[in-house]
Amino acid sequence: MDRLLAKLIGSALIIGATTCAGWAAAARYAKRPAQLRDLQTGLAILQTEVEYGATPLPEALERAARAAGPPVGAIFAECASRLRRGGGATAGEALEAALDAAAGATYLGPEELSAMRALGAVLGASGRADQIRHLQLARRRLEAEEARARDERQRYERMARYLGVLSGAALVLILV
Amino acid sequence: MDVALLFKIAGVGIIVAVMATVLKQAGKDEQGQMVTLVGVLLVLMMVVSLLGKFFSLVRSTFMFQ
Repeated sequence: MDRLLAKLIGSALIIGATTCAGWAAAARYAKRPAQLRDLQTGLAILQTEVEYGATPLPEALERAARAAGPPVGAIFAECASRLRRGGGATAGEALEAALDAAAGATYLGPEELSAMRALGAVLGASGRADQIRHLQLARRRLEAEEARARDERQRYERMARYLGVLSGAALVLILV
Repeated sequence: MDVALLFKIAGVGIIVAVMATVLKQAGKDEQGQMVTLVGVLLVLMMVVSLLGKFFSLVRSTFMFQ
């Protein structure tokens, strides 16, 4: 009787764990398009600030952070706070450090991060027209990536959930 | 005979079939085939000792020493 109970509890734990893993993988697919959109919103705000406001970069970044919202906005906010702290960091270095610090909490992939890194070289370091051109380029790359993320979501979100539950059931079946 | 083993094999078969279908629907045909192969191997590992017993039984019945 005791052994049966132990087996039952163990099975429930295994299935619960793999189901959670499946849902986490599905959440990755579900949240990526929204976060890519947030990042684009932030860049659009940044572009407007550069284009019409000529706002100092930290302030513009803070506005972009507010518009993008968490967790993507944390990248802009981190970059702004690094710039405000000073210490001789250029905008590119601050953006690089902010990406390293804040991108781990998001579901952004290497393609988006490289688009942002390319931005770091020109942000606040070249002419207005050049910066705007680069911001537009980055937004176009993010748009293409967002379309791909939407497509992946449609195909893989449910698959990840099913596979989580099923692999747990298979594991229990094999171990029992 | 151990009936539990039969149910186990049936369960593995059902789960593997559903997994392969789900993977195929998502356009991952290769992974689906891989899952099917893994299922076949798992069941084979479960029955391989029984198969050995079966062959030795046949041999001793017909006296192929």
